[in-house]
Amino acid sequence: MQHKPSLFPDLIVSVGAVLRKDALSELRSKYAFSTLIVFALTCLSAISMSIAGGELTPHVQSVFLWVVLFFSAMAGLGRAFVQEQDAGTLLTLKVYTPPQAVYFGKIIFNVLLLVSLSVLVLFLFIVFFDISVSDWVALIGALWLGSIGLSIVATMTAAMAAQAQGRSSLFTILTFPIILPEFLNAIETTRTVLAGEAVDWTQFVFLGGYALVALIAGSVLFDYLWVE
Amino acid sequence: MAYAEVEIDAKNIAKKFGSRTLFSDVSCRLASGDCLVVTGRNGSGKSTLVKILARLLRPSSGSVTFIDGGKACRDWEQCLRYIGFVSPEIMFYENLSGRENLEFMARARSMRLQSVRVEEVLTEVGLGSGGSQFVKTYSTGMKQRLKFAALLALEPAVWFVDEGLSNLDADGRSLVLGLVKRALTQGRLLVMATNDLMEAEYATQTIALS
Repeated sequence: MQHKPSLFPDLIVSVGAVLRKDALSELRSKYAFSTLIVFALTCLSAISMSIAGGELTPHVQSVFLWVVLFFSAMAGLGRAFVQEQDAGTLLTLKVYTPPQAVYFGKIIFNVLLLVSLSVLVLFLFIVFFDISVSDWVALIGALWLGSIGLSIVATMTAAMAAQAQGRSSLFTILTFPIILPEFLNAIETTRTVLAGEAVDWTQFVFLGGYALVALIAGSVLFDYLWVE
Repeated sequence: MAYAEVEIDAKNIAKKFGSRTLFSDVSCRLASGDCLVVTGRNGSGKSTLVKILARLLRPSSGSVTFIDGGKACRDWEQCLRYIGFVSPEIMFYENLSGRENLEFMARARSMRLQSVRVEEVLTEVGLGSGGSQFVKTYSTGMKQRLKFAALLALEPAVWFVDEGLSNLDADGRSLVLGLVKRALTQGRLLVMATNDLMEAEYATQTIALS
């Protein structure tokens, strides 16, 4: 047994281990990604059929886009810790993995999952609703920053809810108020871009800043959550 | 064999669940080469006490301190590096193979596990050819053997073994008893929860919970 040479700090090696383990499990079970995709597709199809070719204002388009992403995240991202609890591997993870490695590994996995989904949802959204986009950089920026913030908050609340009874509803109830400022800002930023209006970059700073604050606050809280 | 010589100092530990006191005023001081055996009837709190001694559960009162080189270890992550844990509550990732599970555990502790070493420990616990199978195809006895393979691969200074002989056939039992004996000879610290007389034979200290 040897410690990994100093090319990577210990935490990065541990985070990589958690990420690799979750990715391998997901690739083999395909549970989380298929849940996210099926939920997103069902929502988009329902919306598309219900408006039957009618026009949607940029505001409504933006709200629909983020509602689909939010509920897809609620359906799939809670698995990060629930899966460990259900499979009985939570204690294994506690014994062999530093808490911060679990926290960052799970967050990176969820961010990758939701960012991938957001790209797919955006593509389907544009096809279903025949939307023309003038500023792709701003649209993808808003989508990704919002998705990153949502993933970070959802991972933290999933850890809180995992050991409770009625955890599915508790997960959504805990996540919604915390993510609300980011969620409303993401909707408004996306609306601005879809309406072809001049982009206010302070909105992007808010989206990124909120995600960063959530990341740091979660990191501080996680050690207390993790023991017992 | 290079590993930390860790001592465990437990003082006046009590654990309550609601109004029920599971145990109280449990104290012990353990050093390298010691083997603490915790015995007691079902539901007396053996597993709970082992988890508290491993610092995986907080006691209702009292304290557990890991001491390395005369200094108390305050850092949770540093304490974690000392321990290996075998328990019915330890489960493996079913969609990963036995080998992948061991590699994950090692990398999660920032350790590089050579593939030759993985094969060695898997062979030693009798899982040589089963190492590449998904854990979901393992029997409960094979999973128990894999838990001991993790101890051998990660080489922790302190072994916490809760019902180590459960689900094992005669070969598996003698294998585990041999590993326990060897670990003590190497100077590791062992904490075992058991009612099995063969395991209890190795005790240098005993705590009997009522």
